[in-house]
Amino acid sequence: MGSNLLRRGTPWLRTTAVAAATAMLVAACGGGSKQNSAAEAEDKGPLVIASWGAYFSAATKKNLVEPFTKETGIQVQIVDAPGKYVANLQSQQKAGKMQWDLLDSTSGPDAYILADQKLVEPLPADLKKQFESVLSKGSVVDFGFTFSNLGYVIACRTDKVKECPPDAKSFFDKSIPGRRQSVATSPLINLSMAEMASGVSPKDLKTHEINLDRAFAKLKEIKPEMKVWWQSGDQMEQAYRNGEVEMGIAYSGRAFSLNDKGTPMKVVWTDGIYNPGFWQVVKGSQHTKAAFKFLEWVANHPEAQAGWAKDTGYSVPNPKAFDYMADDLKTKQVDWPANREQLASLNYEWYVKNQAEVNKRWQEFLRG
Amino acid sequence: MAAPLVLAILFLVIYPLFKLVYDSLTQGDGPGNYVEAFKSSAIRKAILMTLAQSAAVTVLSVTLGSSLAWTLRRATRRSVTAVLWAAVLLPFWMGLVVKNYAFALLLAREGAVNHFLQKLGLIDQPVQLLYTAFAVVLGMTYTMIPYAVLAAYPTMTMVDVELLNAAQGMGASKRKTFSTVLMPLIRPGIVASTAIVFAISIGFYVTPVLLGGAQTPFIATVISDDIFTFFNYPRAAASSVILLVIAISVLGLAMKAVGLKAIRGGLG
Amino acid sequence: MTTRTDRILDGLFTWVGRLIVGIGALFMAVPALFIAMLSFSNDQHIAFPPKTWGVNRYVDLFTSDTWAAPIGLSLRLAAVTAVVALLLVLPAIIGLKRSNLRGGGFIEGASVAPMLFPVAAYAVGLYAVFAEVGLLASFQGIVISHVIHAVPMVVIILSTAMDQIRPELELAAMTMGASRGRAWLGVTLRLLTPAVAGAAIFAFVSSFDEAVFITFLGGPGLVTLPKLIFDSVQFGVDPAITAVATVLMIVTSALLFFATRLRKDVR
Repeated sequence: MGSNLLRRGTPWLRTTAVAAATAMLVAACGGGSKQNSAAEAEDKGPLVIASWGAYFSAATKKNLVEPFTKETGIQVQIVDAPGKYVANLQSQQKAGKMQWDLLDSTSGPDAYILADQKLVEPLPADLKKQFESVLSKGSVVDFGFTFSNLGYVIACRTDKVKECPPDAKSFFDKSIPGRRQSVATSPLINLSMAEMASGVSPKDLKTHEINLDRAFAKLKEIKPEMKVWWQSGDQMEQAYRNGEVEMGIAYSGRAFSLNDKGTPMKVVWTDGIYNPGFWQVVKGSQHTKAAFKFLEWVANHPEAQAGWAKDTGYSVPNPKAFDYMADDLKTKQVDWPANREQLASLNYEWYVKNQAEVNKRWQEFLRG
Repeated sequence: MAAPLVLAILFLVIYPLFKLVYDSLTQGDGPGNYVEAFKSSAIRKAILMTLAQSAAVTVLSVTLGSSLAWTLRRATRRSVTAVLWAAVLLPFWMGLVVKNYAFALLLAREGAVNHFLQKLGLIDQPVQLLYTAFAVVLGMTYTMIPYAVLAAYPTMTMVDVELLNAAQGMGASKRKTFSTVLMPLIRPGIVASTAIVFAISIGFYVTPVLLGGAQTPFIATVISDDIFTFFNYPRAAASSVILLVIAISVLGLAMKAVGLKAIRGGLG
Repeated sequence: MTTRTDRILDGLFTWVGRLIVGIGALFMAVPALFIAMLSFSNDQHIAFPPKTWGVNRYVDLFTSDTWAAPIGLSLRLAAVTAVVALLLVLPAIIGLKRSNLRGGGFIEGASVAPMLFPVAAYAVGLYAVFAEVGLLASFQGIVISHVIHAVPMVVIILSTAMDQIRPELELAAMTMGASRGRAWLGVTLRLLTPAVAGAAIFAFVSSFDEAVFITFLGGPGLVTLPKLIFDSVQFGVDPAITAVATVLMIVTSALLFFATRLRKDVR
């Protein structure tokens, strides 16, 4: 239809049409296109790091990126893509060009999914060994190392509840009154909590295969008491602060910071879940070498990690980082040995294998 | 000179919709995507929720909207029309997200509504208003009333007021005049605004997310889940097609009832 | 002729009507005023009723860099959208109206249709197309989606305006010796100018306020003002939003009020 119109029109009509089309193109191309310099012999970046936005990106920029650039001359750009790493990488792969080089603190389940889908680089053997020698036990995996580790714990507003549930079993017990909240975006956390409420020991959780029927039945029981299903730490804090809920499953660091800012909170470590984030290198990135150099720098700078932990409240993998932290901060970290040993670990391998079914049933539970 | 526009419509309106239908039938489980979608209790609930809440929104918006439109038509005092137009158009201009934000603040547990209800002694404990279907209907109605007013207003301006006066002069009661004279005259406007409000309502995304929370999903909510959380694009495409079919059916029925002109008139 | 009961019922009927209108008007006005009121609270977190009053929110808004970048992006996006939408629609409408082309009504209808599609479904369609051609999470992609979003309003405004300009005027100018181009520039385009300006403002505002396409099609680095507000409302609230909202309300109201006036001038 379009070409017909063109042919029928007078020449100046056609010129206008072409001009309009060109104008649209030129106007549309005016902003936002990313320059990619060819990779040089020595990989000088620039690196693109995907991060979580707001204060989180700011902490990474100040404590890790800026000193790294100063030392190595490698330029780094941070883009914010909170919670959207997998979807974004998949669409970058579909479009045939990876725009990111590094992922800052990919959440646990997503990290394993990305590894399973081969969207991230495995660590080179020598680097892995080196990381294992400086970072705490269990924090190095095939595709990266942990960072921004946090705990999912039971937390209550002490001014609003008479009794804060001391463990998962009582949190799922309706006879303990209180308006509750939990995380909407992580089925694995909720299912694992439910299994602990059904008597699975936190120590066994790492290898335990979740009984989906039992876990969902448990969740259904408590669902009427769940007034908010939060999608982000900010939202979770706000639900506590404005009284929408009185108790719930919360990020440990956020619960402490709420308390510091004047909302009286109690944090229960028992039956809490250790939830690591991961630094990862994107597969097919144009600056793999520089990206691994960045990881090496981060792993070997405990003072930078400590500064980062102080700014965000999340925990970091280099045990020497504790030497640079105040006592008050140290004891709130999930990697602090006394806390770490109380926290359960998740069975990610099981989740990756069963994610299709888990996600489907989770959506039906949450929305249905 | 229409060529660029025609090309834009072809590539950016018709092609995406065609692709949506095509993908929903060929990717993933093929036609099975629809079976999948209807089998999922989450999607079934979302469809029901979307239809029920959009229907409530439509009834409220069209009732309030046409009453406002008629008052605007009849009012003679300039101050009255000015105030009414401002009240109608202010939310139209306020920005969608901001509107919803206002309702989130009004309806929160320690928000203004609960505060006043407690002050008035109507309730002892704050009641749950935010994150309910009620909040979604309220927020959406707020957004849709201006559309309803603007959609009904053109037919109302065409009503000859003398006709009404004549009917009453001949002894008909106001109610009778309303139902036998006025209603038939403004019916096309009402039908058009009903169809427009309903078709736009079922596509809502922002309001159900912000005011409904996790447990009051709209079709758009589960579509976004499928794309961004579960990476299941084929099923998202199928749900989108279902949404489209509903919208097109409603508009088609309305068009059949009152003609394209009334619908087109309702938009401008 | 009318009975007593009839009169009573009629009175009741009138009052019920007035009540509905009153409720409608009140319902429309309260949330806007409420936000404006809260924007003048100085409390650290948004709470009702406010304990302290002041203009801290406005100071925050204009001094923190949280808001500067998204506002800048939104303004840029809206400006480009308005220009592109006009370049697309204006020649088309003039061409269609003056050539009496068959199918003109169809083209007009098709370009207005997106207004009635459920936005979410349409966004998914665009998502698939953009993924194919690599436009996801790009400025260009967002511009395209915003243009399509704005086109229906622009078409409606310009087409209504064109219908009101009589072709005879152009002809008259030509019989009086003006060239075709001059007649067109001097008569039609001049008469059309207010509508064009109005359409541009509508397109600008529709892009400036758009939150759904940007959620589905946007990506890292593409945080517009509505997206930022959406995220902060969804994920936790920066009190400065009340100030942003109030400023937005005033600015868009003024803009759209102006645009509506321009439209009226044509009529």
